[in-house]
Amino acid sequence: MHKQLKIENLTIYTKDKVLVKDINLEISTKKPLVLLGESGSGKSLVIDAVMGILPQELKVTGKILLDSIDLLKLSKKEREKLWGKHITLLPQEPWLSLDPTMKVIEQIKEVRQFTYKNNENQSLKKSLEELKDVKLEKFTNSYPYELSGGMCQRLTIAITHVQEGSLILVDEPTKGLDKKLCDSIVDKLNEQIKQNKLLFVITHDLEIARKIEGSLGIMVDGEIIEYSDTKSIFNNPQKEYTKRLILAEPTFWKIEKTKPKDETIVHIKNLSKQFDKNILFKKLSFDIKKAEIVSIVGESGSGKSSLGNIILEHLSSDFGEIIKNKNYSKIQFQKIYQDPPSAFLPEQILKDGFLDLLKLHKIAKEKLYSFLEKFNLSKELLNRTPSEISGGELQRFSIIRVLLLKPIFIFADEITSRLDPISQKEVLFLLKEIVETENLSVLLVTHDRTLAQIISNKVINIEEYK
Amino acid sequence: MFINIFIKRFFQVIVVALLSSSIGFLMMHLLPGDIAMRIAAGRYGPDGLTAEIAQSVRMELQLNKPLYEQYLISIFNFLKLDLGYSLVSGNSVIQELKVQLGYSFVLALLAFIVSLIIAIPLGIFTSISKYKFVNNSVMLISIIIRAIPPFVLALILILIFSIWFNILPPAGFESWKNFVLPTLTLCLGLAAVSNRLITDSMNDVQTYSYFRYGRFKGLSQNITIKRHGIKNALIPLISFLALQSVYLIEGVVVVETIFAFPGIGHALVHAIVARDIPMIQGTVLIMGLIFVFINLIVDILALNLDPRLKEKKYNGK
Amino acid sequence: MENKRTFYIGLYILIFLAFFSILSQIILNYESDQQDLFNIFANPSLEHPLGTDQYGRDVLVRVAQATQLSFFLALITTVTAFIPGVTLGILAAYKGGLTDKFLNIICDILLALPGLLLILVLIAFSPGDFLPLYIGLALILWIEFFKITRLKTKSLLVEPFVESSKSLGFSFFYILRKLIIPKLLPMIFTISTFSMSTAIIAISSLSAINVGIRPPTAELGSMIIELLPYYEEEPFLVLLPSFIIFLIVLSLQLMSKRSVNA
Repeated sequence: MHKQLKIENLTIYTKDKVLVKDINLEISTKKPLVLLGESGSGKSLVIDAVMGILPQELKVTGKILLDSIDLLKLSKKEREKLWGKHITLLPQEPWLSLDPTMKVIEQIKEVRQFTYKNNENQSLKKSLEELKDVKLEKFTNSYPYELSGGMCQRLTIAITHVQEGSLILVDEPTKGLDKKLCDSIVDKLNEQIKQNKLLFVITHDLEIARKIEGSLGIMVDGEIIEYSDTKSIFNNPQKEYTKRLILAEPTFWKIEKTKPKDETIVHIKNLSKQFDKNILFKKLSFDIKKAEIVSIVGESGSGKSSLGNIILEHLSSDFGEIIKNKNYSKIQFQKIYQDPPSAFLPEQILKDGFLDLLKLHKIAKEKLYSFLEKFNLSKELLNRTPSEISGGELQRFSIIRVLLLKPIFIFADEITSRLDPISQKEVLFLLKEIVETENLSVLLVTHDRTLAQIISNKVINIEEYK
Repeated sequence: MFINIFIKRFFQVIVVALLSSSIGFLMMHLLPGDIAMRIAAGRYGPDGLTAEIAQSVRMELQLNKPLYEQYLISIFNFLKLDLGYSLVSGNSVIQELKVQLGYSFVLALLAFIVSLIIAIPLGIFTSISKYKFVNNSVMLISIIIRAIPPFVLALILILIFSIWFNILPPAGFESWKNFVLPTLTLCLGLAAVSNRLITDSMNDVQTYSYFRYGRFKGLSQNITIKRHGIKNALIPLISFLALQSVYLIEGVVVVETIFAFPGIGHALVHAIVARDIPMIQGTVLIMGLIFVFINLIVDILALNLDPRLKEKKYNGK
Repeated sequence: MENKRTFYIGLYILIFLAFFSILSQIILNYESDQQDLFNIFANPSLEHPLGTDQYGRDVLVRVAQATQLSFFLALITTVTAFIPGVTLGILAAYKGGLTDKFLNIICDILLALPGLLLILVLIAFSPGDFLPLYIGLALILWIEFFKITRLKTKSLLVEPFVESSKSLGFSFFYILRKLIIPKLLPMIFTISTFSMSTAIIAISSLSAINVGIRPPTAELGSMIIELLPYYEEEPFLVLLPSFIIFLIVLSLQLMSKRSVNA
């Protein structure tokens, strides 16, 4: 049982660039470490370095001491021997790490059988118990594609239980999962801490960072800008960035709700929709008024997106009706997408796309430029392709694109779930502002109920309509 | 999902049957000259040709009836599996086909199996080997063999083994030795492509997340390859099987003709040159049916290997 | 394997062959079927740089013409296949529904038989004639263009950016122009080179077994078979056309990126 992981002066670089600079971190039993940072901050590289799976082109200096052994000094083979037995990895987006052609039970049984060389019967028996522990016994003989994201997560956590490794590396445990699952994940991770395991978590999720108490490191652009106990950082952040980051959590937002006008933009009555055998929602009724923000919350795949698509006539309903205000044309009902780059033609320079749009609708260029200024985007960004711009900036471009058409209704389909907390706050504040200045309505889909409560005038829980 | 496969293949069976039965009919009536006379000439020789004999042939084949009736009769015969008699040899088509099919079937099967025996170990070994030289030389040889059309390959092999070294017969059929060169020709072409496919697939698989996760769980490289690698690597190979069957059937036609090997492919080509219409119909029918059948097996195999395909609306959520 | 390098190797070989064949015909003044029975199997000389064949015909001219024929046939069959293939593929993907089903059924019909067999069925009506060969090949090559275009277009059309472009008011043609066609072009090129190699193999194989293009037309496959009986005396005359077919097919396969990945 290992007692401590110490990272000293870790630097990772290519021949042109330094990617991670001078990292110093410590993990000990009962004191887990959370490394918090956006995508691109370098946190993945740190955890890859500990695991020993950095791509060959990257060079590493410094020390990674597991108790007294410097992992960086071990040969590739020696490091691979540690996998599963001393070091355990909980991968991000676990559904990607499960063999699609192998049954669930096999994927957990094989750890006992081959890593620990137990006999087959023993392995089977114990694995069935493990599945029971995480409430997956009904899926023993299923294949990964039959499991939801959360279930895949439980499976990989169960696999972690089998492994006796005392250093557990957790890679973005909440990525791609509903906010609701956050607490259960934290519970499971805390169990590991109770068993004296060393826990190293990397994440961009503030809630996880807050709920796993131990040390917290804030990572930006390859460097650790703040590193202390979790409690101290949250109560008393020192650096500017950290302050902004903490305030980016919806609970801390100081925002006033908008004041809806009387005019109804969309009237939904007794709406029902089902996909094959799945009832998405039944007898759903509500109104969306002008200058109102309505949020829809519910589990993944529950039909929230389908509702918006039905309103926009991209999808048809089974029963019920949607009455849209006749004073407005179809093109004034628009949508903003969850994954910013996928809403733009790949490899098309933003400028070309926008110019085509302006030309098509005979809108003056000045409108575009004034929006750019208002949304704090430099004109130079127009010369780039969608993949060359950050998610937050691209999402702002999406909003502008839609605003140019003078919309009356925007369906915002989880528009911030792929963004880091600070960008999320920026985008949603902006959205609220344009609701007020342009007098338009927003139907916001989100899986973050706190956020929904804070920013919207009305929250609809789609689970109540099943 | 199973039902869809069966429907599609069954439909293709009907197409093959209709096509082959129609060929006969179309050829008899579209080709220049009087078909009755030609058939009579084929049977009794050009000197034995008289007006009465031609007329009796006409009656026998019911060529005096209206066209649509003739067509229906020909389809009916087909369903009865009455494929008529060869215009060249006079034997029943079915008899001839039975014999020829036997030869071709053995040839194709042998070629396929030998190609797998060469390709699978070679492919896996090339992907595992640490030496770049191995991968590069296998790749080079494969590229070269692939670019040689089967008939040229056949001729080269004849030149080497029959003419230079004189150890294998170039044509006809007397003994098991006649199998060697045709089999070799076909299997080299197949193996050249499949071994590269397997190597690439094996290399790809090792980069997949689930493969790496298997290693992270503590499984050794060999165990991971065995449990997570090979099965997933073979999946693309299955769809390639269908392509291989195309190559085999087409190859059989060309190679048998070059080697004068008494199989169905050779029979078809001869029949075309000699305008032996019943034989053309028969060979096309049999080869077509076998082809559809092979595709059916491949579809079922693919479904069994990749459970995701069973899910009609698998969308990766 | 570096695709770019193999691509250029293939391209240069093809260009060389094309030039060689055209140039040879311009320089030498013989007809490909000009016989000179007093001069059979002549050794290479200034008059006949590669000698003469069994009928005294100049070998270089015949080979040059045969090469040109192969290029020409491969090209026209591929073009005849790709124009309807791509158009219908896009149509099937865009319209979906009955149109899609109908076109798929046609594909299933054509795929009921292996390609060469289908061509043979057509050739049976008039062996040695060019038309059935051309139609048969075009029908077979069409399938690949159709299927791949349809698949790719379909996968593109379900992407969010297509939906968003439509919502913003852009027409299908805009999406076609700016997105679909640029993405399809590289694929179409790959399929085309592969189609041409398939065509050349098919034509030469069929000619070699005497049901494709027949003598006296100079065709590489039939030339090989014609000269096979004289192998002992004049091995070069058999090996040269074989080598040229090999080179053309090799270079086309090198140019189509699929060559190393099947």
